[in-house]
Amino acid sequence: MSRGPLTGLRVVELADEQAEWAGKLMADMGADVVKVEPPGGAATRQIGPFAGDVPHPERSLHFWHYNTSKRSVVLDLGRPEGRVAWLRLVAGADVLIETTAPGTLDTLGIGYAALSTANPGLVMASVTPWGQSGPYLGFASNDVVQMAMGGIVNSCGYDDHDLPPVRPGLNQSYQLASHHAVIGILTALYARPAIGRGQYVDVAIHDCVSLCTEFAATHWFYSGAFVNRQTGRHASPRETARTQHPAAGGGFVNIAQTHNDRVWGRFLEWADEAGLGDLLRQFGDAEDRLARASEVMDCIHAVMATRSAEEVWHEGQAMGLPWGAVRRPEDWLDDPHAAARGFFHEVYEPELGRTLKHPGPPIAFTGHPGEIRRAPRLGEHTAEVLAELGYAEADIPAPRSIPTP
Amino acid sequence: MSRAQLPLAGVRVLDFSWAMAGPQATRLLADFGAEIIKIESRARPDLARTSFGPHPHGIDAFGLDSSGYFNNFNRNKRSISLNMQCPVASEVFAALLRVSDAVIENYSAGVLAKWGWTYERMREEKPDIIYLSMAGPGHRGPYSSYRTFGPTVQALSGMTHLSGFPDMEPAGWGFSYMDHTGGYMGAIALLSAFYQRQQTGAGEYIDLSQIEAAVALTGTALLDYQVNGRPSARQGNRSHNPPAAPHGVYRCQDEYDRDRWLSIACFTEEQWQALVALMGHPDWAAAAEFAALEARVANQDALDGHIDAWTRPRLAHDTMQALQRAGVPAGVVQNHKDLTERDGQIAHRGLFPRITHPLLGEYLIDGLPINLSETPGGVRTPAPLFGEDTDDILRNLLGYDDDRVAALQESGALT
Repeated sequence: MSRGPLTGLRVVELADEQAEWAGKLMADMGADVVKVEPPGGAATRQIGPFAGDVPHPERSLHFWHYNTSKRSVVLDLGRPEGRVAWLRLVAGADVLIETTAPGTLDTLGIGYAALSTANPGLVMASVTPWGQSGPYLGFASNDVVQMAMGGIVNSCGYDDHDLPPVRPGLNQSYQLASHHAVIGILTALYARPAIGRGQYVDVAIHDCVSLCTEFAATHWFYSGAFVNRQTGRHASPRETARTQHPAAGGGFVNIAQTHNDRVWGRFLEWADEAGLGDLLRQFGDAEDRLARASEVMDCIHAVMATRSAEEVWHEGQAMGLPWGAVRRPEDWLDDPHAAARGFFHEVYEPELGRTLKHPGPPIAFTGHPGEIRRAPRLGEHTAEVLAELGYAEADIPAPRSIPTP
Repeated sequence: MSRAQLPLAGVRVLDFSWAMAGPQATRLLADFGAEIIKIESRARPDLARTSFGPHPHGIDAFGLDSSGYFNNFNRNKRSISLNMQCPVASEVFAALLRVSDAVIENYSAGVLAKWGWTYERMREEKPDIIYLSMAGPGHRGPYSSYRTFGPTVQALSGMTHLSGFPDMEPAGWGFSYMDHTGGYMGAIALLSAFYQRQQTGAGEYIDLSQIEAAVALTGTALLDYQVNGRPSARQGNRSHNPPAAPHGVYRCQDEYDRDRWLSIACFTEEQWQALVALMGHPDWAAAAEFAALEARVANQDALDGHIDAWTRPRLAHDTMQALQRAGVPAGVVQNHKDLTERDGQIAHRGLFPRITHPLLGEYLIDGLPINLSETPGGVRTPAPLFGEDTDDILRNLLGYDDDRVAALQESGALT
């Protein structure tokens, strides 16, 4: 058992896929995160893939990934006794993370006004698609819509512009908003002793995506220029040399900084081993190589195709070059570097009767690495948490219709 | 708002970070009022000052103060010029440590240690100091000497592999997503360490690996592989989980004659029916192959062809508005002209303020996407000129007198 940096912090989460990542980050770092679910279970239990591809609320790999280390409490907020338990739960918490549509909780009388009156120290973070007001408030939202409207999709895709731009990754808009929610929450907690109270944290997914665009923003602000998407490299106002090359065996590599004089000589020796050094010797000094960047890249292309992606990566790094293989996430599961760092945590999964490797908290506190626990079953901790709130066993409101696994 | 009213007032961070991941982390803390002291040297200038443009008045117009990019990522911070390779610089750094809360750097492993500053050595000066390193592979492990940039981290982690069309090479990310996100993780790391210090009084060494941060962000890929034996794969613009169809990015017309695209995604029957109604109930939509979600998912190539034919002659923003009014999730693939001039929600939220830089002039700048009700943060001052605060920090923070400052200048440590 290891103590994470947020040990002692009490968090209540009423969140769907838009902010489950925020709760997970805090829970994996030691916070006690109580996830409040409706009697039928959180909607994210319906998101696949499922273990064995059998859809079931206790077999959602989405839920297993995004809800590690949390406790699950079933409360029916549509019923008075559920709302009473909710108010008692949040009254004893430091933090509430929620993703309900603006106004929902206030209409039920259990929103920020009521909660902060009962618990002035509460830090409440709302993660919503567009914030709490504004002209797009009624707009429907999902990850691809957010990634498009925030400008990220505009930078991602292929050299061939007959192909649509690409939504990169999965759920990244939600993870972006979750990161900002955690930053806002921890900032408010830091300020709490000084100002003597908690506060409300408003995070809109659209804002977070729109501020995660790097050069696209600065080219526009300072030059009025648009960036154009390019295969496997930065979008840019002008075409740039490719950095992604096929390697032997079907993989790809990402290479950069090959043109500079410090490394060019070593790169030639490396190419000689493949019998292709002379191909590169046709170019002159660094200036000439830069001027003929695309030609140079074509030749590098030919050299790369003689090695596997893993070989290019390790051999390039041995030369001091920031090269990389295009790996799959699962390539790290048995990687010696990940093992030496203890990155993956073995977590026993009773549904399967075996352990699974989960990524550890990506923020490795060397003295307090934290501990990943499996995602909770629906209502697994209802009795436990309500007892902590002072409910006698007989007074615990019966959650309706919990499906049996 | 004065710094004293800001939520992180009183926090002081010594910031060796450069390029982007580290500066993104300290940008967030600076926006909330932490005093961020960038420790810079002409011997090792920040890439963001030199090679990262644009430089609106020319790359060397104002020496190391010419980059708009640098201004965007370093507003609200201070700068001291201190060449850590000079032996006397160590005295200054030790004095700074004694009055600071945290040290952050995103060099490759070993750089700070080479200057004599391990975590243990820092603790001798300040027992509860918090030290955050942000190297791509982290500071421990067999690849700890490896060097990375954002695109390298994205390639190694699986982020690149997961982006693009399944039957093509990876499209990857068209920017350094992991420099942004590594920075968010860095800010969370420091704030978590502050929380821990409030509770226990103890500092911490945080060995953040940007590769690990990126692997953790690949969602269910690792579990699907372990549980179902399914290798991770690109999905193009489609959604397998939860299933949706149509779910894609479709070509439209544009007023400015650029290529122009609109995302449309229907997860529910209601959304699909609303789309069909808006399209005027075309005959093809009534066919059995598109009758239910399962059928639409199975026949998505044909479905995408029909949707694309419908969107192609239409203006993107008008179509988005019409679709959203009808209850269909849709969003224009916006560029920065759209974000800063056309997006009514962003205007409502004031997401892009303006800032006047003393040399560059007045420009838009990325705002702060976190709204605190009692102690809001925000953009207050432009990025510091190179070494702008050196004299003030030496005299007023460290209490050095004229002679001492002169001796330091003489030694070459302040370059």
